[in-house]
Amino acid sequence: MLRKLHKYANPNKFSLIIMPIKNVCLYTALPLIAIGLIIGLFFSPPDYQQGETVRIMYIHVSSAWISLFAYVLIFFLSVFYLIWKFPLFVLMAKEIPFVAIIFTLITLITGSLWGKPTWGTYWVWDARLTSFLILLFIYLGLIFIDKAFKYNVNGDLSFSYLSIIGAINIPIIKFSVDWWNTLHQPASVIRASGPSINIEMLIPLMIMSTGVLLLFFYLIFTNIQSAIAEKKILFLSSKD
Amino acid sequence: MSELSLIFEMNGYGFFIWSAYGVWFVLLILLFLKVLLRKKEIKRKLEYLIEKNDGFEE
Repeated sequence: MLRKLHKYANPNKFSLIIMPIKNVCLYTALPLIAIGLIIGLFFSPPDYQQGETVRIMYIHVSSAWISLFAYVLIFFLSVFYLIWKFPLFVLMAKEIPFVAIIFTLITLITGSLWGKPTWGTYWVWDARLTSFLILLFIYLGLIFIDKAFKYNVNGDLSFSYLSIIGAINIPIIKFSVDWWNTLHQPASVIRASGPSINIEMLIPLMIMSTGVLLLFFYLIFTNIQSAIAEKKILFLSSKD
Repeated sequence: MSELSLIFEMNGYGFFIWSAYGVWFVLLILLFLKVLLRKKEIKRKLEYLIEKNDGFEE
């Protein structure tokens, strides 16, 4: 099984494979996001406690999920790189932090704009908010390592080790609302007893999240193709 | 007109809601542009180098 996958570890072949997938992702993402925005902003009901401010949820929660999912992806790609030493794994992992940090920034800013009318403040050093801020700094660290050790095996290893160490923050983010008393509300969608959120809010949230996830994949795949082309440039330049 | 202002006001929370959506939109557009401009620049460099190396790519 693993040997069959070896042929796809060739960057050029991989670049060709993701080309059509990437386009499908973009052309599915854009209408989904548009539908999610229209339903979320104009047709979904206001919350009985939070009123209209609940509409921020559709962009805040979907961005937060992408930020966490992106890190899980980096973690597994780094582990695979350390086990099998395929350069493609770390090349892919290194293209994620820049995209993920924007989603993390969106989560923090929209969360802060949601916090002011709901909690009366833009920021509190609450466990969920603080652990999410730490995630932003971990992404920054990964970006700095990538820039500092471009095209260097030591850089690839440092990147992989840091991303594995940083993964400890992911369960802390997820369970911070259960382990500590926080101003941030507990999970209402991804929880053992099923979603507690109203179906009229859950539908636009899922549409939006799927759209944003596909957009994230489009951006990552485009970045991976660019990184593969950059390596070709390096090879061709070295011939001069 | 009054219906439009109701949408913008969002029961007094318009500033927070529209600012959040504005930040979301601007940051996503900037990210999109950054990714596409990088791709374009690399494509330009690669085409130049391939041409310089007499069409030798691999």
